[in-house]
Amino acid sequence: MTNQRLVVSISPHIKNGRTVRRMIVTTIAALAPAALWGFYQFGLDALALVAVGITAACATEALITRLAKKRSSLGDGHAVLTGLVLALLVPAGVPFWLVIVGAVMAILVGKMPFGPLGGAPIYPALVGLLIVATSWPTEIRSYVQPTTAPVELKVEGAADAETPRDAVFIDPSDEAEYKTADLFLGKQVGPIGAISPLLLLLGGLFLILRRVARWQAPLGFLLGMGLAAGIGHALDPSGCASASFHLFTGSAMFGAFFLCTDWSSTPVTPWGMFLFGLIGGGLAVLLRIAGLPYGAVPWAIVIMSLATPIFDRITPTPFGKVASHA
Amino acid sequence: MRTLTQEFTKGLWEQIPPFRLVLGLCPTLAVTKSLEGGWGMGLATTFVLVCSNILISALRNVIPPKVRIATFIVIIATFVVITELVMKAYTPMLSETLGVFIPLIVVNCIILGRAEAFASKNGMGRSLLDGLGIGLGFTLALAVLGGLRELLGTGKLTMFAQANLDLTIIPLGEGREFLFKFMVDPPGAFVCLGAMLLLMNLISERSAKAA
Amino acid sequence: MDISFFRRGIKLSRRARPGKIEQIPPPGRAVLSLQQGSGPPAEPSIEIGETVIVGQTLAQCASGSGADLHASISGEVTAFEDLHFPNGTTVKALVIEGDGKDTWAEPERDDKPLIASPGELLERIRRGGVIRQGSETKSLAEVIGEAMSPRGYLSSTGSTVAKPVRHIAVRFADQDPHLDALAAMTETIGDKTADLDLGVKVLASITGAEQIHFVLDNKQETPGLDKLADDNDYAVLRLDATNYPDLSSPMVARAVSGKEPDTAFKRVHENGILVLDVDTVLETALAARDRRPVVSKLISVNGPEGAGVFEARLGTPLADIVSAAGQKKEIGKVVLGGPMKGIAHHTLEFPLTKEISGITLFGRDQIDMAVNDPCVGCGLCSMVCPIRLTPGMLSRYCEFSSWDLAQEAHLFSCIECGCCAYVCPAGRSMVQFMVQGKSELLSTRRSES
Repeated sequence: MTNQRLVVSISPHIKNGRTVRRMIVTTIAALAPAALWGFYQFGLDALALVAVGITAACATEALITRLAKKRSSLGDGHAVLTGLVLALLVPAGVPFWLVIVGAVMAILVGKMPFGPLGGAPIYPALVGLLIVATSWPTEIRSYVQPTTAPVELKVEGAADAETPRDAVFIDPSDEAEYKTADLFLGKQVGPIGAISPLLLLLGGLFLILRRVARWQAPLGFLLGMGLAAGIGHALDPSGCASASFHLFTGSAMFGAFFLCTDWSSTPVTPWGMFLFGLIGGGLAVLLRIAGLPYGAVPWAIVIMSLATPIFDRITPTPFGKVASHA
Repeated sequence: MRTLTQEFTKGLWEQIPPFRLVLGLCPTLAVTKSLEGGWGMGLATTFVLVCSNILISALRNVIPPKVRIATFIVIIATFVVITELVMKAYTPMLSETLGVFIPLIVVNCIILGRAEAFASKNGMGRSLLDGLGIGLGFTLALAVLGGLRELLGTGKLTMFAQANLDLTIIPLGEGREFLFKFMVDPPGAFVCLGAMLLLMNLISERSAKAA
Repeated sequence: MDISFFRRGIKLSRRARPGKIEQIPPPGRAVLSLQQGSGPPAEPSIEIGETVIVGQTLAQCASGSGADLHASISGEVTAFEDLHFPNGTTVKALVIEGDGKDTWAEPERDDKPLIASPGELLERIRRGGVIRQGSETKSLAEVIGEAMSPRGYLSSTGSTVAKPVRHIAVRFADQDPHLDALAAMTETIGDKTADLDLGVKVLASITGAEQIHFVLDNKQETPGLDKLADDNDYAVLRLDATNYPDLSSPMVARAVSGKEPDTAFKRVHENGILVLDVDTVLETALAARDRRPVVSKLISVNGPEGAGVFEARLGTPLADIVSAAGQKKEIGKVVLGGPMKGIAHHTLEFPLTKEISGITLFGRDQIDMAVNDPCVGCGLCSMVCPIRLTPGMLSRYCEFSSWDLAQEAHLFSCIECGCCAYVCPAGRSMVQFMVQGKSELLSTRRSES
């Protein structure tokens, strides 16, 4: 047993086997039910869009790492996730080139300039999404009639780029036509992957149970949206839809569980995460009522992401320290 | 000591303002929505830069050092007012495109920077060449940036709107204004500027490696 | 799941019952380091060529620091040798060639040690070479000397007087759940309850502690201990030892006093709490009553091929202990201590010293190499950190040499438990960053003052 070469390293000498790749695969798995529901509702077009988005994102990342002579980072799966999230956040009727441009921009502008995974100050998929959404405000609203939806899609509402609404139907007068249960079960019009609050909720809970995401930011986000919409609805029922309507439409659930729980673009401290979500949720409702023709939730989260370093300063008091000093 | 030719040519590559000096970024980002805006802003700046460089160089021995910045500003402001009035009179459309950024040339760091760093220390001939070189470099950079953004953003290249001189490179469908609107939006300016910087650095790195 | 929502720290598996204690025969040749635990090395008090018997003093320490060293086998002192410690220091060591007779020195028994004055008891502990076990190995006399209550006889002699000790917590399980030497000792504590009782009484008499706490794992069955605690009004505290690092000193101190101690600069007993391992208490009893010095050590071995708890003489080569545990295959990594806080050594040609509480072996295929990718900002480390720090941020500060920012973010409160590195998906060697940051800051401070 003598003279053998022994490895020396710092403690701890065991790890729990968690890797970035495994955590991203878990996230993709958590998104899968909602995506499958989207494929069912919107048909093969939706599937093709997702495939195109993922391919474009991976190709861009491969190309850039090759050009920059860096180690290929495709293996961690983040490019796949980026393409997937981007494609799930657009309606099924958008042209293919829009998803391709979005995916390329997400990687080229949103991810790679900030170095390896973990540097991006804004969720890369959102960067891509918002670039294409501001560039082609009409095309991004190409909503498609789902297979099972109780109400016919109003095409003129969808095509009107100037209407300041998040999804097509966030208009208090439309609310009466929908049953909350239908919305919750995913019988509604919206982006491919974001129409089923139930499946997104289950996926999000799975992520939280697997400790890939923390519960503070989603809770804060849903609470923020609920409170803001509740107050708005109580003050002016004709100007603001009810809280459940806001929570179950558009990309609210998707944002709460899959965008607010991103790694580098959101805070890591408990109260930081909660406040991030809370303020972001309120902001999203505000933007929906009086703001943007498209993408209130993505915009709200992007704006909050820029404030992440501030939220990260809300650290808990360390063990044995006096609270006032922190 | 550089030769006179070098004094002129350094502004075109070696010290090209927005990319190498990284000065004068506000007009660079704000007015490069079109090719016309780019060269218009560049030429206006060049005029002010050359004139103020000559005058400051001429007066450099009589300006008291303690109040030199204020004096520089007064001299620069004079030429800016001249530029603004002339542009309003003869090129009203260009003047409208550039808007408030023409008066803002007063606080353009390139001009004050050259006045402080060069004109107040060198003779008039050198200062003229320096101003001309840096100014034309700025014009070139803004024109390239503006052209790139406009081409990607709208598919057109506006040479001079007043004379209806514009080229449609990529024809758009009926009723469409933009090809890729992000490029003519403010964030697109940052992305384009970053891309140009990357390209410049890449070229210099390659040539340094080759040398 | 190894990460809980409700408490910080991580879940590690623990063997249901520790193995039986096996005796390892005295080695033919013992190498005894002059430094045992942190603190200055002892001064040798014998010459090369002298014959020694077990328990005979080999080296003595100046009072106030370090611990005396005693022969662990009988035989002839043949040489001084350089010993390379895993932390990089080199210390002189005495070599004893055994005569195989294992003759013991006659104990000077004192049947009523509690009558002796605290100062006398402290001296006996120092002369007995008792070391405080656990992660902060240090001469016990030094630890309790510092913590001694300000009574006239000590403060007048100029010794350091710190805040008085109010609680003594005795730990009956290792803080690293993979080690079970203390648990094995607790299994057989039945016939040693008198020693244990004496040990805590001696310590209480020296420090003036008012309350003794027994800290046990909630799965340990110890009727003898419960009776002892009942009879003497000792508090019994049962913690979940699989929840690492709940048995580390600061966490035990919190569990005992309900108040969180400041962990910066490892000051745990300033809150009036002294956390000791059960083997230290037993050694204290032997040193105070029988004046029997520490010559052997209980050690837990964990390897891919074998595990067990062994009692071995100090100075036994680790290779002997490892082969006694049945390890035959090639080893890739040797860790002195448990897998969470132990320190890796480059060789098995190292003698057993008082601070080694366990050996963890890894096969070549089990070694986890640090990947050290950039931090992805997932925040798992802030979720598990028992000190409620933001380790990801701290590691970045240390990685990019922003020492001042690290200090502002309470770097010195870090107890280096390794939970953050255990969960880090990017494979960052977090503890290394923390330790590096601390030493950089300390060296700057030293050069400034």
